[in-house]
Order: sequence, then structure tokens, then C-alpha cells
Amino acid sequence: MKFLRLPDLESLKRVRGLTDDSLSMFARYRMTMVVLGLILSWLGLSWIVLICERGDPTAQINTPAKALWWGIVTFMTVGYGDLTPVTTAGRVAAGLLMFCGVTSIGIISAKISAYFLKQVLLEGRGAVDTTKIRHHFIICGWKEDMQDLVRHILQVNRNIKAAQIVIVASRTPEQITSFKADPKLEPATIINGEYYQQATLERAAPQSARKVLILADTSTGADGRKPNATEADARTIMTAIALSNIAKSTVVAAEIIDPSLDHYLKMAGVGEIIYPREYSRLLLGSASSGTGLVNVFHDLVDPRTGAYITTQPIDQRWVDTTYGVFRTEFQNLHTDMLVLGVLENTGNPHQIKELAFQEAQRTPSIGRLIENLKGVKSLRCNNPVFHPRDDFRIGKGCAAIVLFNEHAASAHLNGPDRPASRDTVAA
Amino acid sequence: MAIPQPTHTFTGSEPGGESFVAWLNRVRLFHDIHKEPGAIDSIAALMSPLEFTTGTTLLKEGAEGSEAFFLMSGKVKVLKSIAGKEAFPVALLDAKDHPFFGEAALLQNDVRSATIRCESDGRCLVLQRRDFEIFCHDHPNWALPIIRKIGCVILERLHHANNDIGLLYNALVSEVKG
Repeated sequence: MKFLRLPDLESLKRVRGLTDDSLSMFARYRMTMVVLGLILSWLGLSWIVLICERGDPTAQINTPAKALWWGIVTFMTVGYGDLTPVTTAGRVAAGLLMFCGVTSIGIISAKISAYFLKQVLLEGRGAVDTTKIRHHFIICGWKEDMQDLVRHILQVNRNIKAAQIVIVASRTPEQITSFKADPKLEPATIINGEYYQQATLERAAPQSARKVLILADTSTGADGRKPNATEADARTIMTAIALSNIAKSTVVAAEIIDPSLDHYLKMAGVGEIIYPREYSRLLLGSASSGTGLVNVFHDLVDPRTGAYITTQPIDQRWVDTTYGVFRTEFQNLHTDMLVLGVLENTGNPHQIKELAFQEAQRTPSIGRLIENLKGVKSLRCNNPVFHPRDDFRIGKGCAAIVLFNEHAASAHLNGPDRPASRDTVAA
Repeated sequence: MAIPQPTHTFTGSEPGGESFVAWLNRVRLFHDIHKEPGAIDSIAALMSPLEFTTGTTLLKEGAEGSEAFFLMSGKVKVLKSIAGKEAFPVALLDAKDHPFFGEAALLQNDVRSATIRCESDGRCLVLQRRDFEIFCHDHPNWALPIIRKIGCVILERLHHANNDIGLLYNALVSEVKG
């Protein structure tokens, strides 16, 4: 009987390519057959026993209702003993029913355990179907200290849960298991595959994600090779381009080692570019200058000090007003923050350009149209303007760059405003 | 939306008929003939007054038309659209400047190049092409300066359009060059 065979590891390996949907449908079909068989054997054998018992005057099982009741009690191996067959034929049929019941229960239990086992196995191999998750945070690539990185991300963004993190990287099952050894990181999902390939990216459902972070992946891959900086950058660029094809409206941040390649990322609509080499060089440079700036940066970046630079969205009513007016009002309102400047054109570069493009066409004059379109081309997204002049005009989509100190905020308890939480930074 | 039709043809004995002629004297289109005796009166006789209220569309861009309008009182807004996109206001015409619009329709049944929407209640004079053609036939010496003036207006627009084409040409070339 073919459908009594349990799925083995070999077939599971083949299964890795299939999605959850198709496999569970097949399993459900099998299950329906089994359940149907159980019901038929229960009804059939109870009926047979009824016929055998009916003849005998001392029989207890003499109505269909009683037969069915006795049947289910026997089939499910409960055996209350309130009703028993008295004829020999009835007892033989009863024996058959007991046998069917015991084996059926065995089959059902096995099917259920196999299903759960399969789920766990797939998760461990990074082959889970994730196309239905929403509002998650995608990380493409891997770092040697990936656990620390993800822990830091969770700590800094308190509104992201581990279960919302989806990592796309090519890892061996052992590496995945050792990553998930930390219980804090266990709920995260890992998709095993080359992150720079569009097919793999699609499995992470980037179009419904809230943000994608592309790491410059120079870690030893599943094939044992360690890519050099150029290869890592090329993969980052490929990923960014793939994302701009399949998930135009998702905000993308990317790490690039060679800064001269950043214009490719900008073309692909990456809003935030991280230059790790440059930053470390800047820090080393400022350390050598003796201005003490390194400690300033450290305290700003360290989440424990409570001081950090963040952005605050600017309310609609401040659009088209001047920076001077906005800053005085804002400072009066938020005594725990220091306004440092304005971040222009915040948000997703594709959407910003789209809006600017539509706005540019709102003119009847050709000359003005050409000017506007040139402006759209040179639009720089997430453009920081530090300490502008008081007559600087605040446009649409601007955010305020503020310096905030959580610890100092508690000293301002008299203020009517609660300090903005760090959560507004995320995404 | 149907263009509001003139209510009736003007006859000389219309109350306030005198002011029509005085008004038309100052219209730029008739500048060359306003000294000719009887010229303005004849052309005024062909026009019909039209009252309008705020929000009425006198001219619709892209629609065909065969009449010219001379604004006597009130204000109208001129709206243009490029390539069929949203229409944007280009100018606001006030009656005290003696403006006229739709004059190209006097030459041939043409497609309107802008939308004219009334910004206030007011009144204008409407001249139909077929009446103007009769006028041209009867008084060619008066008609010629008028047609020449219409030609100048159209030439002005043509220069403007050529300018725009030049701008577009340069922008396109520099775009493709990269």
C-alpha cells in the first residue's frame, strides 16, 4: 500500500525546491484518502457486526445507533466495555475493526509528525517559503560576525522583532544552525541561496519588505571561497539592480567598499550608501588630528550613552516656511532636542523622483518645463543640509536632523513633550 | 460642454448700442480702420452681445470654433495644456485692456489653442465667421487691415512656438548625448 510509506530524507532533499503549497496539497490528498478509508472501515465493520449480532437474543448490539457507538469506541481503542459482541461472527468482525483502528491511529500520528519534521528540516536548510511575509527587514549577504551585527540591529531598532528579520545568504546548514544557536536570533528566517540572483531575492518578498540592507559580503561562502572586495561590490551592485526591478518602492541601503563604484548604486535607486573603508579612514584621520572627535563619534554611535543623532519628520504645516522660523518653533516645542539641520528629499528615491517628475510637468511653459526636468535629474535623495541659513526654504519631504540625548531628556521632565523614541529612526 | 450661444443679433437701435461702437474703437484688431467712417459701425452691427457668469467656459482647447470674442466687461482666465496633460493658467485677461480671443476662427474653422474660462460675471461681443466673411465680401478695403492684424497675432504665436522648439531641440540633444 503505497501511501503507508513515510517520507524519507531522500525525498525531503528533492522537496527542497518545492514550495510549501504544492507539497502540503499532495499531503492533504493522501490524508483525505486515509481519513475516508478510516470512516468507511468504521461504518462497514460496525454494520457487519450489527448483522451478526442481530440474530442472537442475548445481543447487546442490536440497533444501528448502538453499533455505531460501539464501533467508534472500539476503533479509537477506547473500549468502554458497555457493549460487547456475543456471537462468534460478531467477535471476528470486532477483531478486524480493532486491527484497523490501531493501524489507522498509527498512520495518522506518523503523518502529523512527518509534517512537523519536514517544516523544521526545511527551516534548518534555509528553504522555507517566505513569499507571504510582510513588513520585514531583509539583510542580503553575510558578515563573519553576523550574530553580533543582527543583535546590534535588534538592539538599535526596538520596533523590529527577530521574527521579522530575513537574511538571504549562501550558507551551509551547519552555519545556519550555529547562527540560530542564540535563542534571541532563532526566530529569524534564513533563505539559503545567492543573494545577488533575482530568483533568490524574490523568495524574500522584497516588494512587501520595509527595508533591505545589502552587506559587502567578503565572508567565506558555502563553497569555501572568500570573495575579494571587487567581487563583493559587484554582487552588491547586482543585488541593488535586481531590487530596483522587483521592489522599486522598498527603501534600500547598501555597503560598498570601493567608493568610486557608488554611482552604480545611486542609479539603482539606493537611498543610503555606507562606505566602511572611508569611515574607518575618517575616524583614524580625526583621531590623529587631536580634536577629540573620535570620542564624540563614539558616544554618538554607542547606544549605551543615550546620545544620538536622528531625524524627525517635519510636519506638513512647516513646508514652504523658512528654516529660521521652523527651528525656533521646534526648539520651543522639543526642549530635549537640538536641531542641527535639514535632511532633504527623504524616503524612497524612486518615489521621490516620481513625485518630483509629476510636479515638474505642472507648467504650461516649455522653458519652465525644461528647467524643472533638469532639477529632477539632479535631485539628490536624503541630502543633508547642516545648519542652513535662516531663510532656507523647507520643501516637501524634508526631515529635521536633531541631536537627542535620552539621559538628558529625563531631566526635562517639566516639558510637556515625551522624548521621541529611537524607534522613529528605523526604516 | 456646449459653448453658450449669443442671445440675439445686435441691431443699431439696441439700448447702449453707442457704447459698443466706442468700445470696439479701442480694440487693437480694429486699430487700422477705426478712423474710417462707418467701418466700426458696420462691424458692430454683425456682433451679438453675450452675458456670462463665473465659471462658464467660453472656449475649450481642442474643440472646433467659428467665432471670435471681444471682452467688454469682467475677467477671464486663459488656460493651456501641453501634450494633452493638465491645463495650467497662462494669463488673466481684464476687460479694461480691450482683449479679444478666438480671432483665428475668423479665418477658418480652427481648433482652439487654449481654454477660456470666466473668472467673473461679465459680457462680451461675439462675431461669427460667416458674418465676417460677408463683411469681407462687402467691404474688402476694411476687411484687409483686420485680417492683416490677425495675421500678425498668429505670427507672434509662431515665433513663440519656434522658440519653444529650439529649447526642446537643445534639451533633447543634450539629454541623448548624456
